[in-house]
Amino acid sequence: MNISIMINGKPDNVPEGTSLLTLLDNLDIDPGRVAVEHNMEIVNKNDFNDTVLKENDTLEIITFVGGGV
Amino acid sequence: MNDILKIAGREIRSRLWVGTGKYKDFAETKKAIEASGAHVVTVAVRRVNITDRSKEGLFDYIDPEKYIILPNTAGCYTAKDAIRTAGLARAAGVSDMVKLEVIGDEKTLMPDNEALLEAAKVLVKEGFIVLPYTNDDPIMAKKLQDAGCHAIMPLAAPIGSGLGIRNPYNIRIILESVSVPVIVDAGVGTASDAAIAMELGCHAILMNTAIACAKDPVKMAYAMKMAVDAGRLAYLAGRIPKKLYASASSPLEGMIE
Repeated sequence: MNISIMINGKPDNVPEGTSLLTLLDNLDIDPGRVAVEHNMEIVNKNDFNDTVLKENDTLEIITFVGGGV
Repeated sequence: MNDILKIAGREIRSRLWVGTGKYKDFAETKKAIEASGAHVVTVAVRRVNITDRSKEGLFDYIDPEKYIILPNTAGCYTAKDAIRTAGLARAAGVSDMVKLEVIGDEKTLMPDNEALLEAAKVLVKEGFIVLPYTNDDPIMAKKLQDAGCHAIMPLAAPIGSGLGIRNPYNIRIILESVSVPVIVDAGVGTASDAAIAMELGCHAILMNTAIACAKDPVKMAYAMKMAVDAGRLAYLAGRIPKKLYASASSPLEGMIE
């Protein structure tokens, strides 16, 4: 069964029981170069694998881009 | 020459710091940064593009092991957003430094100093190395230092304006008012502006647009490097006082008669 979540402001569906680490892997995102906010709380990188996504969860996945002053 | 810049006890190997925005592409960004000799590079924090993963990332070109990465909170208009952005930047795991920006207005991109001070206090308490972007206001600079900020980054002119050092006297007063490093952040247009800031005694300069938007960014990056080095050397050497009248350089004795 799939659950509905929000990723970076857009609705998405993932299988029930998906961990944050699995999601990043499926999205082809290197966990080493991003930070994740799960329901407004920053997730420690060591907890990516233990964070299991639930219905209506909200994720912000950020990285670094060119920027200056 | 033993003239090393230190921020929060960390050795910084360049006095020219550069941004990574506004370049044509990552290849040009990399070349310009190499030409600038910068050890510190600023980056912005943004959402990962989930739908298109084909694009290369900044760190495919800029090795975070080689540079000190200084994430900014550009685009944040409240203390809350800036604190949140700084937290995410640190969680990404490349740096615990933050160039703290809380912008007050889109047209001027001038800082909202009230919110800046509020955010700075919170981030210092959370253990960040905080480098705030602020006005060329000595009183504000002192307040930010007292809040525990590790350097002060006054603007020389509005971001991206290229107007140069609009108020060198205020920058001098800031330099006398605080003991943490003062890094001019924003406003530099060309190499002579950078030299002027360094001749005033500023500890470093951060710039982006002046290099990235020059006709030849790589050449300008090198020009800026030389200007910053020259300005710093001139400051250390100590300039002569300005005088109204001439003072002959050649001896007056032994003139033919």
